[in-house]
Amino acid sequence: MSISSSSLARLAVPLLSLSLLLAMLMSLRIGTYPVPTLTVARVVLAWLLPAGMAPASDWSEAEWVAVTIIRLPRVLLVCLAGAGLGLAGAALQGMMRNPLVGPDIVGISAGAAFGGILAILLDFSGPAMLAAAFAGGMVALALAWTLSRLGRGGGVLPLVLGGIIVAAFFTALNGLLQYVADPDSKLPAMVYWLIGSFAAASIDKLVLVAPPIVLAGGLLLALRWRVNLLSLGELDAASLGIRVERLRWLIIALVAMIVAAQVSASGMVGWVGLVVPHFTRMLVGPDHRRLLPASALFGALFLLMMDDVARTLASQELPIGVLTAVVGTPVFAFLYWRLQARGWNND
Amino acid sequence: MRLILTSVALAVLCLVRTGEAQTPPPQDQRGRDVSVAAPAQRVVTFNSVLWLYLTLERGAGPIAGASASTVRTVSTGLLDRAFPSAAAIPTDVSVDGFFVPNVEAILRRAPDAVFQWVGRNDPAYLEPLDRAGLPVVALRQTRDERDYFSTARLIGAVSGRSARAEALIDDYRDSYARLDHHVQAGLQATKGRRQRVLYLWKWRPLIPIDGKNFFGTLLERAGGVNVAAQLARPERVSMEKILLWDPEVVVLFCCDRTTPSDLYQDPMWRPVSAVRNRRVYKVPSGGSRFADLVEGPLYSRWLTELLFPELPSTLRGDLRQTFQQVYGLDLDDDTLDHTLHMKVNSVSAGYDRFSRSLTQESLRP
Repeated sequence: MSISSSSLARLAVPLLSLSLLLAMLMSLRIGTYPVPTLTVARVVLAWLLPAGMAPASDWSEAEWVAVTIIRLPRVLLVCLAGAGLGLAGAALQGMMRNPLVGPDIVGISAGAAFGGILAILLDFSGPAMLAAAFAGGMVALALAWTLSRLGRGGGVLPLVLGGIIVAAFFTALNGLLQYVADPDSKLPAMVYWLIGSFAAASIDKLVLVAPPIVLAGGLLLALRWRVNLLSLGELDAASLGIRVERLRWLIIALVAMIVAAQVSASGMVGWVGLVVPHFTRMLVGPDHRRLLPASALFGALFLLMMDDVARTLASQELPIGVLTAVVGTPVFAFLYWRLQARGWNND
Repeated sequence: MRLILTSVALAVLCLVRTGEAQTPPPQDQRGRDVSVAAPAQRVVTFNSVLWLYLTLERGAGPIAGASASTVRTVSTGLLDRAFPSAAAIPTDVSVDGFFVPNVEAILRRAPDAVFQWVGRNDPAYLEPLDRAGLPVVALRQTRDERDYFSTARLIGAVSGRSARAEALIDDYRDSYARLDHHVQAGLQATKGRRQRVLYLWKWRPLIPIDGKNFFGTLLERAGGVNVAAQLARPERVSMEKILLWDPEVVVLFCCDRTTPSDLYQDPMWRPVSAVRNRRVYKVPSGGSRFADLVEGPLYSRWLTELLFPELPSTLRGDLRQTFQQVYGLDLDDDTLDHTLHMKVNSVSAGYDRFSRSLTQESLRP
């Protein structure tokens, strides 16, 4: 019995949702501190249910802290970041009709990274650091936008080129900040942050970055049928009543918001927004009404699995940004080869 | 017979002279001969050797340049009182303010010796100096007390203060002999049980003092067990690892902004024994980060008194006497409170034993 591609496309979102839920539960089990699976389940139930319905608390305080304060915020933050990056990548690729673009193309990641390591240099922490990274991302977007307006003709290509310039500029500034940082106290934190990690995940971070990611992600999902029209081409979209330029800018701003929030919480995590939409497109096809929610779910699942590997592969936690790059590049090369043969729209 | 005796005497004399002529020059810590005509008139320092050089030299006179980070440590700590002129030491010898040398600035000063790290980013830190033909004295990061002694002797040889270096080494050994005696007494009271101690070098990210770090050795010598001894290098650990170690005492690096209250207020730390029993302490800052030949024994004394509360507290007296003997400084109570971080540590259990009203005088001779 074989499943047709249309059935697979219909089942993809529920299946991905179920897989993500199972992966989240499995991830709550993973950690250095030993917590039995049953205890993990009971702690999670106690955390979720009202006091009257919660199971009796026969766990130690360390087990409670390990599950609810260390692992749960991390799992939620990873899922949120992965979903945001997957969604942002799919929306951008659809909008630009180009499978080689990722959500960090307009220099937002480099700008947010600059804000973050500047915050480390200045001893900012918590919300101040998040705000600095977010501001850095927004400044980068503004600069890229300004550069794109200097050229004639407008459109997206000048923005992409402006983004490359801005990213190079902020990458240079990042190098300068690392150069002047105290090699004993500041530099390790900067380097670790630049290569991405969710090790410092907390409820506070989750509360800070969830609103921009959920808001921007929700709006992108709401725009999914318009992205379909954009992916037909500029003229077709305009003839169907879409105000193309305005919609493009809106999508870019929403993507920027997601990326800046993600970078501010966990440093630079590359390749997710580039690879995930490709994989998802193989599952559900090019229709953005399915592709966007499926990319969000698959992005969350992919990043969660990467984070689990990062936590367990070695005695010392590996930076997730390195892992996503190591896994993402060969996968992307393979997908690129496959899709070259068929055409990226799969049609 | 006389001829034979004369020949023997001449032969012995020749041997003695040959022996004198062959006295090897001191070697730096990468095994190269140090051929500096002591006392050096101009030296440049990049690492923590600055404060020991000042201590042996009793002044900043020959220091022609030093990295900004080490000058800052001196000028913002207790050593500033002993060596106020150190704040004016030129810092342009380093291009990044730390360990990357500015070779032209160093060449301009024509130093007799340049003290630099070896085994630590050598291509950036050491090689430019070697290529320029500068008289480098290479020092590695301290692994054990033999490195302390070797460093002190090297500085002594270069500065012509060998006798003073030996005196400091003797003081160091005497201090630890007394401390060992007290630690044994403390361990007898606890039936040999040593408490689990975590020395947190950085709080965010979590980086403990590892098993190879000399601070870890001093921690063990103070009567504790380094919970991170299994780590072979400074590396980031997860919070779950710390829950697993469950240290009974946590000590925080002296010279950053982390305080015991940060850990007490962090819900992740709530189950850790040291936090439950409010036994998190910030290491005093002293003049040289409570480390090295002069302050290393004070750090161990401080920790021993925290680990064994039944022992008499002599730390304030020891601090006073050490700074008086080594630097000629009279430390008042306010200064001692500041260097012991009395304010930020007041929220922790038993720290009042270091308060000005409760401590005994030093037992140092």
